[in-house]
Amino acid sequence: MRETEIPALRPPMVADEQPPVPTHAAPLLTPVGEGKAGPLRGVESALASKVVVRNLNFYYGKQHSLKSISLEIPEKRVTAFIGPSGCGKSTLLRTFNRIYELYPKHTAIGEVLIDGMNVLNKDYDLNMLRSKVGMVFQKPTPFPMSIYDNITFGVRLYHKLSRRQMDERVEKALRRAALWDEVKDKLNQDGTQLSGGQQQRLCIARAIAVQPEVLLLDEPASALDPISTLKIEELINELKVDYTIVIVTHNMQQAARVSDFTAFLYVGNLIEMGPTKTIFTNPKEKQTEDYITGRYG
Amino acid sequence: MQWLTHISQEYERELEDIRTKVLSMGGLVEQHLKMSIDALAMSKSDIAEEIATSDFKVNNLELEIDEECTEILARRQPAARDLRLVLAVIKIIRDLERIGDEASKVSRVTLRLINLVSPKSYYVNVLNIGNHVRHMLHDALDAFARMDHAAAIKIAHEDISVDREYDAAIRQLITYMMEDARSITAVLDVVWMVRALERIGDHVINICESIIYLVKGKDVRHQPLDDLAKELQEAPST
Repeated sequence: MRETEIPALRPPMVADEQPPVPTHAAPLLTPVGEGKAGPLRGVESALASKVVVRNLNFYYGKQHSLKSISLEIPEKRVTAFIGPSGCGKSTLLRTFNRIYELYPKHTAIGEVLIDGMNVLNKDYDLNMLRSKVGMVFQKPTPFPMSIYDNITFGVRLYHKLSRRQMDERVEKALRRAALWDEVKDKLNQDGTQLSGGQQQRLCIARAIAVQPEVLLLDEPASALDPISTLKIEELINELKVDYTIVIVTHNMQQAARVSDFTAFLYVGNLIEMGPTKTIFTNPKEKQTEDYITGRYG
Repeated sequence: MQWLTHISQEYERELEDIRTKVLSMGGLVEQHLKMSIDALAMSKSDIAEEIATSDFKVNNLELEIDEECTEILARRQPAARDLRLVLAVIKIIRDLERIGDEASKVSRVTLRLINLVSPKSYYVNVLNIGNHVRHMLHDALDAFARMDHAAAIKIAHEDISVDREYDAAIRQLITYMMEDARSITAVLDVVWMVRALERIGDHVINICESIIYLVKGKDVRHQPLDDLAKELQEAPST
């Protein structure tokens, strides 16, 4: 048997070349600078920001629900928004795809930059935004049509594909959402016939079928049983290789399990944002610590 | 700083419970250490006997507190300082149990020395080092009770002088052995005692590192002490 030569990963070390001596373990990502979280200063340049929020204010009528929020969502990572009820986490999420515009008197002022362009700008094409930014809601929302049509519905809005290409898209999306094996023999079955966990994975498949770049998940597992929840979390872990994921959750342990970065909101303010590990072992703000340890006033 | 309490009072009690128990265990170990040193100083074999056979009390406390910590981790999924408290407690009780072991060792050796009727000059160093590390332990437990990381750093610095005292004692004891071969049996016993006390000093340092981790959230193990103070100045205050 011929011995194959394994290519060297680095050039061989010359005698006087020393490997760098590691200094006392510094964290790979330093948490955001003091107090109020600003943009991810100190996070190594290896992480680009997919979404940049600048001085975002949101009003439900006269109610000031988001107060000058500024933060950055790192690309191809999972960022969780946590905070007590009414803190604005869902509101913030919904500015990323302007879905709040469905309702009158919901106003966003400020900037939400995706790839450098402000999506809140009236001139930004909403259809393009919705193809770039997908969303999954708390309650699974399968369309009352076949599983196959559920997936192709969105795709058809943006692409004209042959039957074969469409089939491939459907299979790819369902595989990616860990649902293919369960439904490949019944693609014509009505989507609403699936179990809760399956429906939610169908919604995720539907969202990723249009090949978005950002996935917004608004409490995606709240309505599901523990096993389905863990399956969805596992799925999120696999998906982040390809998508920037933002998840809103009221389940702190879920945020701790599933996210790379966590932002803590309170009464419309961003209190702290940082690597999840830091937030859950040594947060900078007392308020953050009180919330995650279960101490409430 | 005003700390809020948990919504779950039972959880609050569980955390308070392990803190209190650690201090109890610490107090017991401190007492054993004091008594073992006193037994040597006053050649009291009955006290030495008592300490040599009382180690089980310390061990039982270790088991008890470990089990409570495990339960908190399983049921409560503690975060941030609660998590650090549980982790620090698990480490601290390990060090306390080892200190208890070493104190027992000192007592067992004391019994042999009393039987050998050794001159006090052999072990006067032991008494000094013994009292030194005993005070360090006392201060460390105090620092844990008050969550005082600055005190913990100060105590950690004392390790340097304990090491010096240890080196001086060993040199002296070697001199005795060289001067008179008949003294070797007894002096070797004293060497074991001095080593045990030096180890106690090391365990107290470990406890201080755990306190610093608990209060500041920084793992300062295996770091030179000079870097310590500097690094902690940069860390956020709780």
